[in-house]
Amino acid sequence: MTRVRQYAVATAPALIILGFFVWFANWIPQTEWDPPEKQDIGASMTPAQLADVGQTIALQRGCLACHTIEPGSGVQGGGRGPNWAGLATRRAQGVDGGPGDLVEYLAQALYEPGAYLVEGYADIMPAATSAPAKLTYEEIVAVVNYLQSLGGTPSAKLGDIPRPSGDTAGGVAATGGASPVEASVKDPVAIFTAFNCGNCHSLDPGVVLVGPALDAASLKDTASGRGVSPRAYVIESIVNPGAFEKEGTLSGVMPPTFGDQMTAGQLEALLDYLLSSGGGQ
Amino acid sequence: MMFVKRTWKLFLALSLAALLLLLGTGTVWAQGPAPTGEYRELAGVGSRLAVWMAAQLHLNFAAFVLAVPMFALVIEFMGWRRKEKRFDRLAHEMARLLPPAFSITAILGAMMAILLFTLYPRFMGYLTDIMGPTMWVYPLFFLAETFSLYFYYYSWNQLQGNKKWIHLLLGLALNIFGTAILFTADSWATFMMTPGGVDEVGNLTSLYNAVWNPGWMPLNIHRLVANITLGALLAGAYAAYRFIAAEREEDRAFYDWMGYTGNLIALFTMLFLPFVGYYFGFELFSYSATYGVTLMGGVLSWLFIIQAIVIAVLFIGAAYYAWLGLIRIPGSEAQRKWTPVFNVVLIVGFMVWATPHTMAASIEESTGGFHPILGALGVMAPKMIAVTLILVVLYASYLLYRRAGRVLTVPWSRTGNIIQWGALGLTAVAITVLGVVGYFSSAETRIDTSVLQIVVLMIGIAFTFTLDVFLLRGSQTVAAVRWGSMPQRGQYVLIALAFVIVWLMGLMGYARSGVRLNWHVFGIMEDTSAGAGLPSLGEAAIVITLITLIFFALLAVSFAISGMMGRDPVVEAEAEASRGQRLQAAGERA
Repeated sequence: MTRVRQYAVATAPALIILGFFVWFANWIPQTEWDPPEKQDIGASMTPAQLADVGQTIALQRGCLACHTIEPGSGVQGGGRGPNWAGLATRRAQGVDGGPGDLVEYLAQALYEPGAYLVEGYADIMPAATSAPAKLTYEEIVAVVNYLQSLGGTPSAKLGDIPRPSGDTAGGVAATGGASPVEASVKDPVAIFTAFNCGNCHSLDPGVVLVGPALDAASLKDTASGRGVSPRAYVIESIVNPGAFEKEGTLSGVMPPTFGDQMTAGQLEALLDYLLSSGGGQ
Repeated sequence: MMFVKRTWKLFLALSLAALLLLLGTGTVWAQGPAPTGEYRELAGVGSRLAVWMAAQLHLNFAAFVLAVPMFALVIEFMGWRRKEKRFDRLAHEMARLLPPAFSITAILGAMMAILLFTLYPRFMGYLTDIMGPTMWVYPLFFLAETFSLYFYYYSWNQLQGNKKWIHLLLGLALNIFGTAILFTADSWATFMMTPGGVDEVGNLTSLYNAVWNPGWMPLNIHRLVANITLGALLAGAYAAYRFIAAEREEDRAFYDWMGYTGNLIALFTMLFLPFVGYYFGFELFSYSATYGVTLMGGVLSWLFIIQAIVIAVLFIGAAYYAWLGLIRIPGSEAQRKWTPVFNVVLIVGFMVWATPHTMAASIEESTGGFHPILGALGVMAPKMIAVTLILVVLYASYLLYRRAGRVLTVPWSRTGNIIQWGALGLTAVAITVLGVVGYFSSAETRIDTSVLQIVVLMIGIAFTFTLDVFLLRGSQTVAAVRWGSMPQRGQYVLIALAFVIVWLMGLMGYARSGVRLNWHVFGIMEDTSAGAGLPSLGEAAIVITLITLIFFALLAVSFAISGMMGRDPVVEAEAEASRGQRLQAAGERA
C-alpha cells in the first residue's frame, strides 16, 4: 500500500464521523435567527394596532423563550417566567404595594422586572430597555398593549406610559444634553412647565399621577417622615430621583439629569415655588 | 547551506498555505467603502463568513502552539529528573511541530486582523479605543514568545547535560509569554460578551475592569484546559500517522508511546472540561440570564444537543483507545472484560446528556415549557448525574488500566480492593442521590447540589487514588509493556479524535460568538451589518466542517515541514548504539 493510500485509509473514519455530524446538524430542526426588524409605530396607531405590533416584537425578541402562553394554567405555565395567558385579568388592579393598575404594572415590569417579582420566579429578566431586547419607548407601549390583550382589552396610547429615564425622544421628559429653558428664565411656573413636571406630578394635595403629589404640605410631611429638611428633600429628589423614591410609585422613571440641566438659580426658584403656597394650593 | 535549503522550503510551504487559505475563503474585495462607513462587504463570501473562518483557523492553530509547549516542557522536565532519554526525545518530537505551526498561526492572525479592521472599521475603532494599551503590549508578548520558541527548539541539542536547566527555563519563558498572549486576546473576546469598565453608553471608565471583565478569567481557564486537550490529541494524531508510516520497530514503539501519552493527557484534561465549561457558562448567566436562555432554551439550544453527541464521540473514542491499549499489556485479560460494561454506561450517560428539554424548532415556536416526556431528562439535575457518572466510569477504567499486568503483593490487598471499589460505588450512589434531591428542589438548591456532586467526585477520586498508590506499592509486573503492538484501528481512533476535537472547537467557537446575537459588544454596540443574524445549525455545521478540513490541510503542510527537519542526530546515534547492543546480545545468545 502506498503512503498516500495508507494515510487516506487512516483518515477515512474521521471524515465519516464529520459527515455524520453534518448530517445530524441538518436533520434536526433548523433554528435560523435574524435580527429583530424595526417596527413602524406611529402616534396615530390605535391600541389594537399597537397590540399587533407588540405581539411581533414579543416573538422576535425572544420573550417566549421564558414566558409561556398556556390558557388555564394560572401564573405558572411551566416556563422560566410567569405565564402570560390571563395576565390582564390577574393584574387588573396592579400589584400590592406597587403600581395600582394594569398599564402601570406592565410598564414597571418591563422597565424594572425585578421590582415586584412574581412569587416562585428568579430575578433573571433584564430590563426590556437593555440588551438583548433593547426596546424603544414606542415598542414598550406596543408590548404593553399586547400583554393587555391577553385576557383584556388594549388601551394604552403613546404618551400614556412614562418614558424610561435617559430617553431623549418624544420630549415628554427632556433628559440629558441641553436644558429645555434658557438659563435666564427664573419663573418657576415656566420651569415647571418646560421640564414637564406636570406630566407625572400634580400640585393638588393627595393626587398621585405617575409620581407623588408636589403640594407643599405633602412635601413637608414626607420630608419630616424621612428625617430631613423639606428643602434638602426636594433638592435631593430633583438631582437624584432614586434617593427618596416613594413606595407605590413607578421606580426609575424620573430622569436623573434635571440637576445638570437646571441652573442653581432655577432650582432655587422651583424650590421656593413648591414649598410655598404658590405650589401648594 | 542546509539552513538556506530548509528556509527556502519553509517559505515555499508557508506561501502555499497562505494561497490555499486565500482560495478557500475566496477573498475578493468589494470596491469602495460602504455608504455608512460602518461596514464593508466582502464580495462573494460575506464579511461575517470571512472573519469567522479566519478567526477560527487562527484560534485552532493558536491553541495548538500554546498547548504543545506546556506538555512538552512537563515531559522534558520529567525526563530530566528521571534521567530517561525517551522522555526527552518525546518532548523534542512534540516541539518540532511548533516552528512551522507558529508561522501559520501568525499569518492567520494577521489575516483575521486585516479582515476585521477593513470590514468592521467602526467596531474595531471602538475596541481599539477601549483596549488600546493592551493592543500595544500584545505584539511585544508575541515577539518575546517568538524568540523563546525558536531558541527553545533550536537549542535543544546544545543545552543538554548540565545546561538542561537553561533549556527548561527557555521552555518556561515560552509558556509564560504564550499564556500572556492568550489572556490578552481573551480580554478582547470577553469584553465583547460581558463588557466591564465602561459606562452605559460605552465610554471607558476603567481599563482594568474592561480587561478583567466578568467573563475573562473563566474563559482563560476554559481555553487553557481545552487547548491542552486539543494539542494533546493533535500530537496523538501526528504520532498515529508516523506509526502507520514507520518502517522500523523502534519508531513504531516510540510513536505508539507518543500516541498513548497524547491520549492520556487529553483524557486527563477532558475530565475537567465539563466543569470549567460550566464555570464559564455560569459566569455568563450571572452577567445576563438571557445568555443562559439563548444557549440552553433559545435559538442555540439545539446546538448543545450536537455538542453532547460530539463530546460523546470524543469521550467514548478516547476511552476506547485506552481500553484497546490493554492489548499491549500481557496479563491484562481480567481488566479487558469490563470494557463492554463501561461502554454501555458511557452510551446511556451520553443519551441522557443529549436529551433536549423541549423540541421547539425555532424561537418563535418555543413556549418556554418543557417536553412532557423528554423534559424529565432534559433538565440540569439528570444531566449532572449523567455527566458526573461518566467521569466516575472513566476514572474507574483508568484504575483498572493501572492494574493491568500487575500482581498486588501487599498483604491487605483483598481488604484494600473491597474498600477502594466500595468507596467508588458509594461515590456513584451519593452523586445520584444528590442529583435526585436537586431535581425536586428549587433552582438555588439545585445549583448547590450540583456543586456538591463535583465535590463528592473529587473526594472519591482523591481517596481511592491515594489508596491505589499504596495498593500498588511493591507490586510485580507480569511482563513489560509491548510498545508498538497497538492495532492499526487504534491509530485510526487517534486520528478521528483529532478531527472531532477540532470540529468541537469550531462548534463551541460559533456558540460563544453567536450567543451575543446581533451585538458586537453586548448591550453597548449593536451589529447592524447585513450579516448580523445567525445561520441555521445545518449551515453552521457545513462551515465548521470546511474550517476543520482547511485546518488539517494546513496542519498537514506544517507536519510535512516538521518531517523535513530530518531525524534528530543525537537520538539517531543513541538508537543506532542501542540496536547494535541488541544485535550483539542476540548473537551471543545464539
